[in-house]
Amino acid sequence: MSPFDLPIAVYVVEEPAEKGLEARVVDCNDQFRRIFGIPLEEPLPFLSSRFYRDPRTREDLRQELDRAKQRGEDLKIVIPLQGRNRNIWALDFTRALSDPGDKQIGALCCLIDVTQEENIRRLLDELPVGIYHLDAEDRLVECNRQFSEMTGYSINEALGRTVVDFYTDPEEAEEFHRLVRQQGTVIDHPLQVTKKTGETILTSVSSALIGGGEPYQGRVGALTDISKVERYRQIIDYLPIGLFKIQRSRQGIEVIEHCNDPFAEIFGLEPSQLIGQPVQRLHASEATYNAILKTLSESDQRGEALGNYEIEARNNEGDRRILQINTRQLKNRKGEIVGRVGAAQDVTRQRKLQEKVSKLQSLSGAVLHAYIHTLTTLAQTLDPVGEFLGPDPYQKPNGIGGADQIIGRGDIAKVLAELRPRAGRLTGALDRVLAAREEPGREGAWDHETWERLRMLRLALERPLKSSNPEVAHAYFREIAQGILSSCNIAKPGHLSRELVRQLEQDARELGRVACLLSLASVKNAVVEMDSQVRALRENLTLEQREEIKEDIGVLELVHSSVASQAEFFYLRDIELHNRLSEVGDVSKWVVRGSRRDLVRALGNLLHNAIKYSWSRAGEGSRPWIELYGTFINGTVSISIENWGVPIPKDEESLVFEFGYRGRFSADRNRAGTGVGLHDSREVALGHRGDVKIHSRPTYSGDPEDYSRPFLTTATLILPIFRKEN
Amino acid sequence: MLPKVLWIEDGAETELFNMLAPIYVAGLYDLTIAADASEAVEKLRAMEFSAVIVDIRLPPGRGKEWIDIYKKYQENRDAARLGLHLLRALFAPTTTPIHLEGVDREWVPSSRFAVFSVETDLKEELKDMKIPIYEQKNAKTPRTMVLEIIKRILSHGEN
Repeated sequence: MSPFDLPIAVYVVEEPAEKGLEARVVDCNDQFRRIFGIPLEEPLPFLSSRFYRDPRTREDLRQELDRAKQRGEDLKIVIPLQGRNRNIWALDFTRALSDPGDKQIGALCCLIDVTQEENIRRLLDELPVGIYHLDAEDRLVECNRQFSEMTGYSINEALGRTVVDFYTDPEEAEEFHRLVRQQGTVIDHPLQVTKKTGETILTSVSSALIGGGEPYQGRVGALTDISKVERYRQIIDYLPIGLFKIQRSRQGIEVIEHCNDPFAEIFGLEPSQLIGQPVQRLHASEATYNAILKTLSESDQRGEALGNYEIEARNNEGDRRILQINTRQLKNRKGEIVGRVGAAQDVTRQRKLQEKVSKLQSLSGAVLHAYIHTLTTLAQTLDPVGEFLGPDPYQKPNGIGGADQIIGRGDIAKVLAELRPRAGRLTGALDRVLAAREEPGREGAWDHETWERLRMLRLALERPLKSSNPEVAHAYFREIAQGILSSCNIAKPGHLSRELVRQLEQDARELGRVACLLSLASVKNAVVEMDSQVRALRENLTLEQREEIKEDIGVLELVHSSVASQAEFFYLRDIELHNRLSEVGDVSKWVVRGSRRDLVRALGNLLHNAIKYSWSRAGEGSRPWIELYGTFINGTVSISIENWGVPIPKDEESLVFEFGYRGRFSADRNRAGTGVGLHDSREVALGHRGDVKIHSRPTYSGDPEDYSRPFLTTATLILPIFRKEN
Repeated sequence: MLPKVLWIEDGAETELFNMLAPIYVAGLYDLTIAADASEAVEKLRAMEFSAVIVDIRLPPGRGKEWIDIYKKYQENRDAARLGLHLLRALFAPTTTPIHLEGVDREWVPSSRFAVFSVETDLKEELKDMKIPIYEQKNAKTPRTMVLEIIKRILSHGEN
């Protein structure tokens, strides 16, 4: 039997005698002719080039044949060929034919038409789905290229592995195995796969039993990488914002096509309860629904999405909810509206809170307004009361100064300068009375307890003179004077000389009068200061309620207005302002922009603090002062206010801006406050794209934490320059 | 020797100076003032007091621990009632993050303490801590109030 009798295509190829000529099929059987559609009557030889789809295939084949020959093997290869009117995939077995000198003169070839199988194999390989075939022991016996790419194993590495090598959770794999055996076919089952690299991906697996049942012969299946889809699904499901897709019918009726959990939760429902429902039903009224459609259409005409639109909706229980909607219309190719997508957020709580804050702001504004009235009444009442307590020994003959300034400056030496001689006179008078007690008949002027009280008061008279706190000193003297006066009022007549008691009463009254003047001045100072604080607080609390009026303000004008706002406080504290702003060239031409009211207050607050926290410079032969200067750098103006006095420790430099925070040394020498000013100034500055900076440093060498000595504190208001006038 | 009294109050020598005078004039007590939470702990560590009057809203002072807790409540300053944290640290240590080191607990029975504050909602908690005296500051408070509180604490101790 000849090879040509085999039931497969057999042919002989003759190598060309010379280079440049083509190889030829010099013999073949009928099978060969049938595969290639060559009529039996067509004579041999055939040029081999007619069988190759690609001319290079022949040369590649030759090289493969050489390599096979060197290995002592026959060549077995699937090659692309062409027949009459069709492409052919052929499994080709080739044995080289050589002459006695081992020169290759041709080849004997067998060929099987595997076009159908190869097409299927290639289709499977190119499918964007991983295909696998497991045997009865769940070992991989076949898979396609996509499976290999998906798992990261080469096909050779993958084959022979059991299925648990691929699935991340063996229990999940086992469960899936059971499910396939139970149901025969399982569609789109989610399973996590671990790639060769260790990375996990989420796949959707469909699988069917081979042979249709027991005994188990294995299964085939397909898996799709749904990690990306899953990630998007998770984003949509877990994003704490309601997302929706609405479908619009030709009749214009909108229904929910899809939504995520948070969207459904807004209405107290499950997504499945909302999908398919008319959108209008979710709105509080037809009017609100029509209003959003109208606005949406207007936005669409402008080519914009509808953003931050608030609608009134009703949840499942009929409660009113305020939703903030961002939505965009969807159109088909013809430009017809087919629906819309969007996001919804329940802002009911925020809106309620906003309403409450707004009410609270109005209320606070009103309450603080009433406080300001009370403080004004108080201050205006204190003035005439003070006049009745006059004359004011602290007032200079030219009428300047007075107890107000002395107490405001916290100068204990000056406070005591007037109290000491009066206390001395009272001490003398009291000593004379106490000495008289020893004389016969005098004891009966008071009972024992009162005599003892007077003796204690005599001892107490020494103490205020040692005080470093003027407030404590005058309160202390006032208390003593009052105690002595009370005793005078109950003195039984006839025991002490009238003159002795009258003198005691007169000296106590005089000391008490001056102490009361100081107390009154102290209260007035506190009222003026508190008035400033309450105003700042009221302005700060009602900041958002006022209509924002922006205007151009010259830097000089801003400074002058702020200084004017603190004029009374400058006077009370007897503080000089050293204004060095004009040292900066062109200062009169620089203009900032913003709310005049807020900016004047912001700078006023800084001035107020500088005045309040200044120490008197006794011994330096001058009144205390604060310095004001400016710098212009990179389009900003920095207005700095520098005072000498109360330290701000380093660790407090950031804390002082917090609402309500009062520095450790802010109460120094009876300085009242609310901790609002710096916070308010900074808030205003930030609102104008500026800032406020605070820096406090010791004015002496040595321990930088010796806060008993004065610090130089600079508060700087930084604002962007809006323009420069010509 | 006069009984030692500690008044923990940031406004003692400022807004509330009128309350100091009757104590000084009475001449019966050796009064010490602590103006913030850190200073209060320093004083409590340094010596034994017969009476301690505590304000509830106190600035933190220099102590890092106090500054930290003050900052922690930044958003809700109402909760930064450092005087209350001080009392908790002394009498209910599990209810505050503040730990007091070096305070001799032998001398600090809660019966020697009183609270004098603008706060109005502390009755139950102070009762739990067995602090017997709780007075509120308001415009009608007499200037002798602190003196009265001292007398009440000391008489409580005698009983």
